[in-house]
Amino acid sequence: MDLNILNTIATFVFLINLIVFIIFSWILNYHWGRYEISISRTFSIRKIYFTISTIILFIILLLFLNLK
Amino acid sequence: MITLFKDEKIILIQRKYWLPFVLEAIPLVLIAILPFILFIFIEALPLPQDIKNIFLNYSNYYFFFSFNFVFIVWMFLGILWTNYYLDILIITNKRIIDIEQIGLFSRDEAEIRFEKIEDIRIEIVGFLPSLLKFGNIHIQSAAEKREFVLKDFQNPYKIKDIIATQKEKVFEENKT
Repeated sequence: MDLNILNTIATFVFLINLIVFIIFSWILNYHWGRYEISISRTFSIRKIYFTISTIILFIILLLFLNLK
Repeated sequence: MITLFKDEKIILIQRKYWLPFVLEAIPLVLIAILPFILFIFIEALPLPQDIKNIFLNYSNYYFFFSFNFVFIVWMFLGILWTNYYLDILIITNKRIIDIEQIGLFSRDEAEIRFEKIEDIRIEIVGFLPSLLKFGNIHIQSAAEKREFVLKDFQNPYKIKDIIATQKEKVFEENKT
């Protein structure tokens, strides 16, 4: 199996995922801030969403660096 | 978010019942963990040994793509949860406001004044809704939009009582 092709695909997938995450997070963050009634709950929602996202992204990044 | 009229007071703010959201989220979670379950049981799967060897030899790539998949599912869960969480029912002393988030780019805010309400009907269909006491509230109105449906709310009878009591109060106020 050609590892160069796999590495290129992996890089592409990682970058696309990152871009999609930034766009979606911006939209979700906007919705939570604009339409949520309770400010304290909005803070908790953001904390949970971004903490779990960061953990998954960190694992992906470690795996990505391990590919090379 | 909502601009209240003069002398308007909020009586009830209620979100939809969580169970329909959980029932939608469970398949997504199962799909997310599927690649990892497949990997654990790869030896037991009826696949040619060559294919199994590819999976095992390139396990770092397999896990990389699997976690990317998990990340995509996580984002979808975020959208699903937002759709659930931003659906709110607000009952004030003057009107009922039903806010429904439909996807990321669509939002429906409907309201009905108590004077316009003609009839209220409760709909609880199915085993789980009967057991856990959640269902839909149909409000017939004299307004242009004939029926107003509040979907998947817990204790619909309690909400119906609040609406009926408030409707009566508004009726009495208008009489005097």
